[in-house]
Amino acid sequence: MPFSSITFIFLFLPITLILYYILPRKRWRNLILVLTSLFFFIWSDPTHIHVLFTSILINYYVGLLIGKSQERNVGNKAKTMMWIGIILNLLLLGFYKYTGFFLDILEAVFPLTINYTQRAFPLGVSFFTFSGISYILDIYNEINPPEKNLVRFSAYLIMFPKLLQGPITRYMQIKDELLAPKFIPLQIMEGVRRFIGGLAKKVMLADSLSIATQKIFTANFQEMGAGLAWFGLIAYTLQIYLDFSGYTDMAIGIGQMLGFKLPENFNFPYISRSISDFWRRWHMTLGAWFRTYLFIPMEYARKREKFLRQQTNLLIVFLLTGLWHGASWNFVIWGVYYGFIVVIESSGFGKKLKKTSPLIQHSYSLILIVIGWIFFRITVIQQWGSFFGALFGTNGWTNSITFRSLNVLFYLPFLLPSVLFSLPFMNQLSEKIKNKGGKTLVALDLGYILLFLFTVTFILSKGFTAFMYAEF
Amino acid sequence: MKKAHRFILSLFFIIIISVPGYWLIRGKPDNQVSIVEGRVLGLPERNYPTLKIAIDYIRQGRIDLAFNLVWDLYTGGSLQKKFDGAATDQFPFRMDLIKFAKSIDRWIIRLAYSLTNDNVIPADMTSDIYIMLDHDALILPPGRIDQNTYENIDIRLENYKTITSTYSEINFYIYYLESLQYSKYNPLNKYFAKADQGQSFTYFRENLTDKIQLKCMPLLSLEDYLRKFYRTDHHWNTNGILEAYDGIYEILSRKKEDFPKKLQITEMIEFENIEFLGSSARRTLYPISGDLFIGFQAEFPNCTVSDQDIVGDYNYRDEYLNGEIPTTPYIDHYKYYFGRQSGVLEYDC
Repeated sequence: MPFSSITFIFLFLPITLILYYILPRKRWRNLILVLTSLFFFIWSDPTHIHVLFTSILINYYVGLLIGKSQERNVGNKAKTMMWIGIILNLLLLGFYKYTGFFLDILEAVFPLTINYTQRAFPLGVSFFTFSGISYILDIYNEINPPEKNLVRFSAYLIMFPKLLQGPITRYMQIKDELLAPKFIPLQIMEGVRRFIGGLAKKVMLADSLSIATQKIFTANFQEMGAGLAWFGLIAYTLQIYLDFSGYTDMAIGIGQMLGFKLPENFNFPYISRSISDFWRRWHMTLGAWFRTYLFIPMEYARKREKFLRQQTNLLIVFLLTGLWHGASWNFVIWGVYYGFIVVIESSGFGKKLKKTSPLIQHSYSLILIVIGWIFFRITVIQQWGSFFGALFGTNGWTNSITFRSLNVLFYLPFLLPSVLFSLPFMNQLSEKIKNKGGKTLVALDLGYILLFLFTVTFILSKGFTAFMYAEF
Repeated sequence: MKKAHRFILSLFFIIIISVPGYWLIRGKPDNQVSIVEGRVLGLPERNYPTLKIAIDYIRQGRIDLAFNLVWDLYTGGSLQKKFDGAATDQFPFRMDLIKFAKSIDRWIIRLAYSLTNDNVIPADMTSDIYIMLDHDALILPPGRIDQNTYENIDIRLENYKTITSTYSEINFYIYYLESLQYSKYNPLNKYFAKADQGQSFTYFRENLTDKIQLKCMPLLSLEDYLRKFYRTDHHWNTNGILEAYDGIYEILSRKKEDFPKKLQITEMIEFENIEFLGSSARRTLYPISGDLFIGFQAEFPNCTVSDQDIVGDYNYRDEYLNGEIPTTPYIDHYKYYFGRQSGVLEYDC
């Protein structure tokens, strides 16, 4: 059930909010949250509900066992349980998401023929397994005690706003709200703004650009001119940000409506001044997860090594970041590409870059980010050469496949608002108005309501299907 | 001011609650056919016969069968899909809101094309139908030709050869109706490097077995297209029908001296109060003026028309001539006047 569907906005969300807030006892709210989240998941992915239950039970009981071992000062047992928990989570993730990929590698390396068909993996599996691992490690590291209440723990792990696409949330980040759910009108109002903004970004901009990019990236690059190739790449750069950050805005907004403050996931990544900066601004909760649970422990474990320690650790982290995004070589290469750049930046280049003008820093970052999206978007590696060729003019500025022949010319006006919403400008303006208050704030909120109605018309318009031969 | 501000954001909740509230209060709607879309709109309680069967199973105590049925329906995703579709279809003021969204789409298209000198631009963002601004006509883009096209034609040619040699006692005819998509007069050809421009038909004609008689209703110019086809639809109009009838009659009567007499058109009837908005107008919701709808009278032979042995008229020609003309926008006058276009009608004359 996408957040941008009529069913979600006009049925699931109001029913959930009503049930959540009319209950006489606040502690029942977590139960409502769990039940609605289960319904939300079952509606979207009914065949994998057992995976969700398995994940809840594994992490809940492993957490309890680690806590008990720590209480009894049995450090080794706690460590063993921690490793069991991590391995079980990784097995869950690996079995559903990476089996086909690793079997392909085995087939390529060894003279084997394995009959295996990759099936659809559970929705959000990468997110809830990473949340589960963070929960176990935080208990092991005594950052927070295990949650003894199964309902409360389930609410943390599977709450629907963050279940399918994050933000990856640590238990300690929402523990207080889970313990004592609160009704904060101002936060709810802020949640409404956030939800509407995200919905508009997703539906009106990202979804529109996605139609253009889908046409461009499935066309024959050998017949594509540089103009169209650059448009496709820029449109995709904007689309992926607006789509993901739009979804995150909706998730954070819904979280706020339910009284939770979910962590931020984006901080205007396209204004980064370096690639290291980009990864502090893009999918921040994933970056934080890898930094906290992989990079820092690896640095600590290898602290005695001097030669290329940080560099190799960074490469491992980025390789795994790429692999996390998808079980395919293009994602691995995408991750390694960033890994190498970050290694270069951390080896002295970053300091030199900081001394250059902001324009050079922004240009450098943006060019590398945009090129990175080629590896991400085009999953068939053999096509990269022809796309780069098209970008750099080997087929001329225009060729047989054009804006008109793909019917994507009218997506050009979407670029300007997409750029505006990818920069801090709109956000800063909105914050200024909020701080100013008074009539301008009323006007802003009226604007939000109109934007919401406008976005709903777009959603409905997509469902308009007049059949050509219905009458003939 | 604080109160006003809170009220405005509360509007969000009022709106999202009022929609399901509207569904509850309204109950089951009377009319569920969307003329514009040519389909029955989704309605949750009416579209789930499987659920009814499952309930019947439960009543009969066959819980396992009921469970399996519901499980399959649910895990297959069709239940959710139908429900989502119904929620969208039943949205209050849906059609008005869609028309509004389409007008915004057109505004964006015009903005994008204002940078060009094109006078044929997309009519909307989804259908791949274009509007010829200087002719106020909706058209389809050119069909493309490539190696696959030739390969498909070769397969068809080979098939025709096999059929004609297997049934050598039968006369075979092909009447080809050239559409704007495959014509050299499509005004969009210049933008499509692989536009067909009649090449596929030329190849077909040159390689067709001589055991088949081929005749064509060619397009002679863009104006010729506009004369023979509706502006709001990709189908031929009465002019096209009559020209095709002449052509088909001519090839069929070539080898048979006792071929029945040609129909004589006694009267061309212009229904000036009909605004015919065809499928292209429906699909795009483009604000285009309707086509003039022209019918004709002829000395039709006295035939009994039946569909699977059920005798009937299968058209509303007499009603139209008596002035009983439906006025619903986008209603398919073509279908009602000339008769149904699907299924097999048998004429016993």
